[in-house]
Amino acid sequence: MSEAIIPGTAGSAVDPTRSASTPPRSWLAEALYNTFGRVGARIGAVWIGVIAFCAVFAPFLANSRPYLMKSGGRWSSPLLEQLTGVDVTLLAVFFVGLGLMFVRKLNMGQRAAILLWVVALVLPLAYWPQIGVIWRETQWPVLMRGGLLLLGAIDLAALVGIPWSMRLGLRFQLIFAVVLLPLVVLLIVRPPNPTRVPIYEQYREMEAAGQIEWVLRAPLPYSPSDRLRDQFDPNRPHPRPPSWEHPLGTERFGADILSRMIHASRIAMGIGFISTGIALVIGVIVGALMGYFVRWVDLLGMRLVEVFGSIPQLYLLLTFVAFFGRNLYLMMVIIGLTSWVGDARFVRAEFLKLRQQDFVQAARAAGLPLRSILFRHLLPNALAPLLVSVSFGVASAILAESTLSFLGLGLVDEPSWGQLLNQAVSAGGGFYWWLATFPGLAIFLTVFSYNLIGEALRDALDPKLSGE
Amino acid sequence: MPDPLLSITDLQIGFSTSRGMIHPVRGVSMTIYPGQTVAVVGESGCGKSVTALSVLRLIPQPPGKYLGGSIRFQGRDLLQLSEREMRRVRGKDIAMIFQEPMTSLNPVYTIGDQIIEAILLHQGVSSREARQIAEQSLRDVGIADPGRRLDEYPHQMSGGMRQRVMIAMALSCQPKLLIADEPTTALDVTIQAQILELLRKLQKERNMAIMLITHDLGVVAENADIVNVMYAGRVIESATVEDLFDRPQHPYTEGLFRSMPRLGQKATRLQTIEGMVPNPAQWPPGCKFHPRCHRTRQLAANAPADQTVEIRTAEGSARVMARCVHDLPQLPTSGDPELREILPQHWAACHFTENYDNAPVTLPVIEHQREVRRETVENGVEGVVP
Amino acid sequence: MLNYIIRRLLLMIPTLVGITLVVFWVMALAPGGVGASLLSAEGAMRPQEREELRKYLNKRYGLDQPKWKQYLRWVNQISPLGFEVDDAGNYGKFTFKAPDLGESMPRGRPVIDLVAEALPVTLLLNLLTVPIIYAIAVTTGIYAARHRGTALDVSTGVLFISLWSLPVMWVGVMLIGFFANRDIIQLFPTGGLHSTMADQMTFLPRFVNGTWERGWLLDTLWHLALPVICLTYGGFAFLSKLMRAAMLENLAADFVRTARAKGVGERAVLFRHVLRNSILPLITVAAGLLPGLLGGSIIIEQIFSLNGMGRLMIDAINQRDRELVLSITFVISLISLLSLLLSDILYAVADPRVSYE
Repeated sequence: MSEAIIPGTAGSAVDPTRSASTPPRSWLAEALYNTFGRVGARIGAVWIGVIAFCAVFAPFLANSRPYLMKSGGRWSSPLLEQLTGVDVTLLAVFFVGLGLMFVRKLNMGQRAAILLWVVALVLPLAYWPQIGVIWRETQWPVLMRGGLLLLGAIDLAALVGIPWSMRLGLRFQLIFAVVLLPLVVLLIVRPPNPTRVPIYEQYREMEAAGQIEWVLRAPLPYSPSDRLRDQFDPNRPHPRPPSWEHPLGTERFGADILSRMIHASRIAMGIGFISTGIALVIGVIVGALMGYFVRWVDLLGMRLVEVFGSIPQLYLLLTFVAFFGRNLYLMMVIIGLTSWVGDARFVRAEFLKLRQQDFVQAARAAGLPLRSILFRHLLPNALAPLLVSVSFGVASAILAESTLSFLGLGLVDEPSWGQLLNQAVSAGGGFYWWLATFPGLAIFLTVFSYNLIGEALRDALDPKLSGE
Repeated sequence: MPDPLLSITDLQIGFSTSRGMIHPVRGVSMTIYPGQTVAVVGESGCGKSVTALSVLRLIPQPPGKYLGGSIRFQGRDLLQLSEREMRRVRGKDIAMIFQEPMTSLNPVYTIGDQIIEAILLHQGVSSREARQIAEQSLRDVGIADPGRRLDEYPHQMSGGMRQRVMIAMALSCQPKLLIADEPTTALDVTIQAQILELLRKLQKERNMAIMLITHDLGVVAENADIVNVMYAGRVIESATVEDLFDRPQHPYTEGLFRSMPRLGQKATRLQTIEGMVPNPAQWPPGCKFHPRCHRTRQLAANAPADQTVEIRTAEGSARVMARCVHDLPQLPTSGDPELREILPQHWAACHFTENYDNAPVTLPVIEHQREVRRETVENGVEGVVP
Repeated sequence: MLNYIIRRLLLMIPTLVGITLVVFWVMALAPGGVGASLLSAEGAMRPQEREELRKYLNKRYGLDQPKWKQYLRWVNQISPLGFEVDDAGNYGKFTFKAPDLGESMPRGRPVIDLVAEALPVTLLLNLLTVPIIYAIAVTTGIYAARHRGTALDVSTGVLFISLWSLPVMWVGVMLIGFFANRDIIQLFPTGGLHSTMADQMTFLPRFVNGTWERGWLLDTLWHLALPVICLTYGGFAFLSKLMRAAMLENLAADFVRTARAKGVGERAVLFRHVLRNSILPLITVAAGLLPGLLGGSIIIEQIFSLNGMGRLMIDAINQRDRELVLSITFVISLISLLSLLLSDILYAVADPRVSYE
């Protein structure tokens, strides 16, 4: 297992014995290397890096609760105590990922598997008290319990299966044990348990009353839903324009905009990747089925593609929202469900094109089943072009979420860029430029970055189209 | 001796690429007289198509660039004409047909539109007359029911049909020179023969000169009066077709003949020319053919060691004559042996042909038309091998 | 040609059925099913109204029946060809009839009337936008292809990606905030399709007593300027890139070399031979453009207070008027399906290689 990927060297060596059916990994690495050699893609990657950093460290960047404080002679860390399970999981994945970047011995697939393993380990542990509550008190015992059992089984399988199938050396296992064991113990002893209704006022009141002896605050000492500060001061109505206190101003109910924007980056990233992932899975399966079975499956599939292609996506999304209500996870699924058409078309076209080609015909003549040719050898080759569609797909998923939120049909209380933008023009005709400019800029830059990367990817994969 | 129709002298063409200038055509000279068929033969990448396109100045500029030489057509240097003057030459005096009849016609216009476009450009006639001319030229190339065919689209026709249409379009303005760039390569063998027969017939009727670009020596044997063999951007042998087939002088030409099957010979294994056509971005020094040349290897085997050198080839190493590798550079990019008239009316560019050292360096000018063909056409008999 | 159109129309039928399936099952699979989603507003109703709603729902959907029967019932009602239903719910003969899109409960009006009022606004907006998109895309595409590789070409390339990435709602909010604002610059109206006085205006502009009156036409255009800007830029940025790529491909084609060898001038090569072939992919894309535009016009109508289909949709969702939501989605899908058909026919006309058989 020493197929190290060194971008730019593996794929560029001309080796006539390597045909199209060799593993495409080095070729993919080459394409990625070409992509990120371009200025546009680099700019995009930098911005997305910033957004990803904000997403992972949101609670540490903007939080009303102090990192560390001393009150009445007692030290405490309200911020750490109030971390959620998602916060903990993201941090764990981030640091493990960072560590993996310095481990040369692993290939891309192994790194992804390790990250998946960490998620499978940390996420259930971070939520075990809540899962226990659901197990005891849930209203639809059979369905929920069945689902939970299934999830648990999948999780256990991942925990056992991934390390077993990877056959990592003893040293790796030791390192992981040393790093992850304390975390596991900590999560079992003190699972994340944030209070349902956070009260931010208490820290300010304590400070005003002089009860806090020493305090270390987050760089932006406002939580995204910390809204109650001097709400009723008639001289200083919200929303307020940018000031030293609130660098990007405040929104209608007094929450800090920068803080909301930082926390909103988490939703943007999540929606972007999860719904694109769902769309990709559906698209690849439908497209591959059409391209493989042809005949009536293709006919049926093409009608399905036509149906979903001719209902304007936003109307379909709104119909879903109208009947199913608003919820972050539902929104991810719905955006995914309404944007798989392009991927399906692409995979189908690719399969139909490939199955006509001489080398596929030759392989069939030699007795290889078409199934194995298409799925084992050709689907991986189609993956690199699919990356282009993933990149554009993430952009449009982010756009879809902010559109829904902008229309007031998105998330209710969670921070979202589109929701802030929605408040920029008030019903009375007032215009709050800071509420329009900053969140809008964030949406634009993020979408632009993904589009730049997508464009660069496409050029790297198909030099015929490039402008140079 | 009448004036030649076209004389290309020392034509040099460069293409600027991301890795610097490359030189696909390096000092090509050839002459075409009215009514003559001059074949240009060579492997792909030898510069024959670039030479043909450059006569019409259809080399895209940039990246292409004319670095030197002249192309005189009826006394005028085409390279000195303005773009507007050049457009009057294209299609009217010099016409061209291409290798791919499937893609060389615009798919969204009827063939009538496309032929009439050329006629209207050059002949100053009304569109009604132009349509009649177009119909006549379709009839001339042997297309039945031309009036109806004019309104058809290219995709409704077969490849052979389309090539006939291309010929009709090219000849609709009575050009004096037709450049045919591999006109039959993409066609079926039976269609190939028909198209070539058609070209011969039309050429005779109109006393038109043809510059026939091909890599097919059979086509050359049947059609050409003069043959120019090109290698690595230069003409390396030039002679009448009879002369060349009887007495090939250059080792490359010899190799070409040895790789062609012949009737009446004992079926031995066909020979190939070893190695690959050199890459224009990296020409070898000296004679461009020496890495593949069998003659220089044979000579080197018996020559004193100080006259030979060791070179690296694709298969390993070989010993060749030092003269083939080091020669006085003629051009900044070359060092090739010059084209010399080693026999009367027979030019070759190889150091090791008889009489090379004493032969004069002249431009190849051959006013020759073979006799056989005229009879053939009149008698309606096909396929005479000289 | 007629045969081709008829064949295409017949092929539309399964897709249309598919659309009704998707739209209906989104409703039917929602928590609580068809009835619940419509009944959820009943808490605020008087007993009499509630009774009426129940009666209406039972008649329209047959809530006591299995879901597939409910679906068939609904399809029969919205279809222009089907069984007649009398007031008692008995089925009559199979004929052509007026499609029944149901009744909007919160508004107390037939859905079809509401749609008939809103649809022209949306169509006007989109029909104004499409030609503008194409005009700009074709010109800029040609320009970029002719000046390939120059600084201008590269910079317009980047500009177009950024235009394409600009969220419509952001541009709309910024435009209305900065250019239709008493406190900043009031160049444009803040919303609506006409001024309040538009009814009394003449159609064309004129001078009345030495003062200029802009007239109905200019007034409408003035109101539509910002919305149309918002709807256009993304489309032409996308199409212009496509046009450029098509031009570059065709400029390198063999038939262009043939044309040059005939002595055709560079301009004629470009406009007669290259352009015609490069337009073809743009016609195909037109079909995909309209669904996007229709989606975009939801946002635009919301920002600029235009009473079109999009605004009606948002209001319907906020009022929990599910019947209206269902019908709007269906009608909009029908329109984009028709545009798909139109672009197919246009393509068949423009490209001789497409056979009609």
